[in-house]
Amino acid sequence: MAYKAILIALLLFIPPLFGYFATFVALIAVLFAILTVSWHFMEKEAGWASLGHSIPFGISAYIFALNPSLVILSLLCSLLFLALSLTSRVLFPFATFIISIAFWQISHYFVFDGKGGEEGFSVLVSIPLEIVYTIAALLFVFSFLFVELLSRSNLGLQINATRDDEIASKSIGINPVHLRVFSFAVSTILAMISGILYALTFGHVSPEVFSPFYALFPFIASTLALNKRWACLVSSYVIVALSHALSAMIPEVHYVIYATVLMLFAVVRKNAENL
Amino acid sequence: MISELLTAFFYSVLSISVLLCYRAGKILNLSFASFLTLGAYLSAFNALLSLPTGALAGYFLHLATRKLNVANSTMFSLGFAIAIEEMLRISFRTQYLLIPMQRVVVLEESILEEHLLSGIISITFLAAFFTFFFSQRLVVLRIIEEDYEISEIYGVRTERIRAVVLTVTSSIVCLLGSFQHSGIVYPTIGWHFLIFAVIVATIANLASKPYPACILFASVVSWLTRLF
Amino acid sequence: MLRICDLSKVYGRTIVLRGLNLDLKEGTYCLFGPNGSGKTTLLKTIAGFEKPTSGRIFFEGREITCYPAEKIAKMGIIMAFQIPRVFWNLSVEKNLFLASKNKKEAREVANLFMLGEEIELEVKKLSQGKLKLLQVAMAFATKAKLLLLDEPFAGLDAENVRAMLEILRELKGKRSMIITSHRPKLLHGIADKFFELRGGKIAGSYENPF
Repeated sequence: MAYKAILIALLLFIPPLFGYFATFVALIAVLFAILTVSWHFMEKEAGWASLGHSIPFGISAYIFALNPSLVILSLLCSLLFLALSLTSRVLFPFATFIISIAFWQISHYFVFDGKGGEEGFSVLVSIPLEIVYTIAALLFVFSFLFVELLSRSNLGLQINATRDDEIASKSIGINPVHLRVFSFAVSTILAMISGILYALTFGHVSPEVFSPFYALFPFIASTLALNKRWACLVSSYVIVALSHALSAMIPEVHYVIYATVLMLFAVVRKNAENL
Repeated sequence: MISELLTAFFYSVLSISVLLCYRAGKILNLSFASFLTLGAYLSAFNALLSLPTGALAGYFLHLATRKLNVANSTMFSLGFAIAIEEMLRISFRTQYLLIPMQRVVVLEESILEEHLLSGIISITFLAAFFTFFFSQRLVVLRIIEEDYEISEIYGVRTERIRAVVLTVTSSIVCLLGSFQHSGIVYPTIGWHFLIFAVIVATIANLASKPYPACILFASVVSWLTRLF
Repeated sequence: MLRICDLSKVYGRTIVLRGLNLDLKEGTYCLFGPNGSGKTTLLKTIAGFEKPTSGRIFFEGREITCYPAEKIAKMGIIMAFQIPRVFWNLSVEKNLFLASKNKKEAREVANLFMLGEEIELEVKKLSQGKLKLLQVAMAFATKAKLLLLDEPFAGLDAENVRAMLEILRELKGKRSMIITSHRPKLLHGIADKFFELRGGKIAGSYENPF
């Protein structure tokens, strides 16, 4: 347990000592780690594996760019997840992936006040990178601890139980739909935090926030982390650092990483119940 | 009118291929998006290359996923799709590929020659599929769709049939990809076709006769895409 | 305690329950009949897992006809299914804790139902007999007033049948129960009254012969 805390602390505190670029890369890794933690909670605790976490991530980034005071509206994404959960647990990942691709396509045509479309929107709020990084690091620690404490609580146990068998839950008086809504809301809020940090980091939001790169990132990172919550930060660093290091040689190298992880994972984990 | 009809036939074939792979092959084949793209890129050299290429890709997919469950097979197909896309992106090193196209006039309507060929191929496939699917020859296919495990218990060669389904559908989809683009080819071109096909297949799967329903819903989708 | 008025359930063209009437006080009851007679459908309808086509169900004077299953469970009716519905990836203790909401009570129930040794074990590693016992234990741990046990002896060997009978004798008096079974003779000495279900209707009944 101690070594996990030490590793997380090192990954959070060391990068800013190496200058602006290191801080920038670390910030991207941390905000994606928050997205991964949000996905991981929804998949491991609640049993709903989404391939569309780019939806709350992207929507919150867009709303934050347009009007930061309205960003809470992106919580409505949890209702979208609820609607998609009606397809079934097996089809849910693919339904969310398809809808995230649909958002990706539609966002190219979203124009507001003569701006947007393929160009996207500039973020009105500007905060120095070092401060954004500090906020991101604190929010990652908060997200991680919150999800950890929630999963160990009685409510977390009920969420776990409902993941196993909804009928058994109903038979002892647990309402699985309420728990599903709660789980989706928690996951959406954490994804929103990640989206807002993304907007603050880049100062600009474009339709690419809904692309398969962001839709699949949390799944890929969680798989690389061997489904361990604390290792989500490590795997995020690996993917982000590799992408930055190799992108000069291989364009969009992150997709190569994705393809490798998806194909290997599917073959190695033959009988996984969830993804 | 002709254009909408040809698009409807194309979407019918694509959604029937998706549905067939899901029901008989137990895989939601997301690689179709990249097979379409692969076909589009191959049309820059020779469109007929897409037939054997698609067949090989489909057979490889079958070999890799024959022991996997639906979810893991689908995951693998997604990874395979991304791998093909990246391979094309790295090989061609351009954002877009421009392929010269020709136009023909059919019943006073100007359409792309390639789209006409795509329509002819689609009609041929549909005619062959519906002729054989409801005959005694392919009754095993319907048995497998009912219950995969019980089919195996009763000696149906499910693996062989799965291989044939994936190989044939992949080669047809790849071939159609050679003709269905509009002259501008890029690595993600196949995805929006596949999304519509998956939506059509999902709705058609709820019908009592899913494959004819695919044609009906594909027609609606093609009309809607023209509208918007 | 439980009153059923003119209950019918139709699946497509198949009439499973036909205008069934039942008025039960506290006690233990056995429902028996051939396959397809509607025993499981009746229990599922009472527990809220199926909606009746027509008719009404009252529990302690309150109508519960179209209530959802989780609401009916909170009111005091718990169903134990023929194929056990439990939380497979959790331990026996956690399963019982979820039902009882109290760790100490969960352990006591585990010991009562001969699950003390397996308390830390994941449920998916339990044998069929222990799974059936666990399900009944969970129903008991909720402190429900009425337990609906669907074929509790199905798939059990002789030793586990004896264990189940011992448990049911323990529960008699502590909880009201409706038990379905193909072998009503097993429940002679436990059930107060026996109802035969045939063609979706109560074909006959008799009191405990002992």
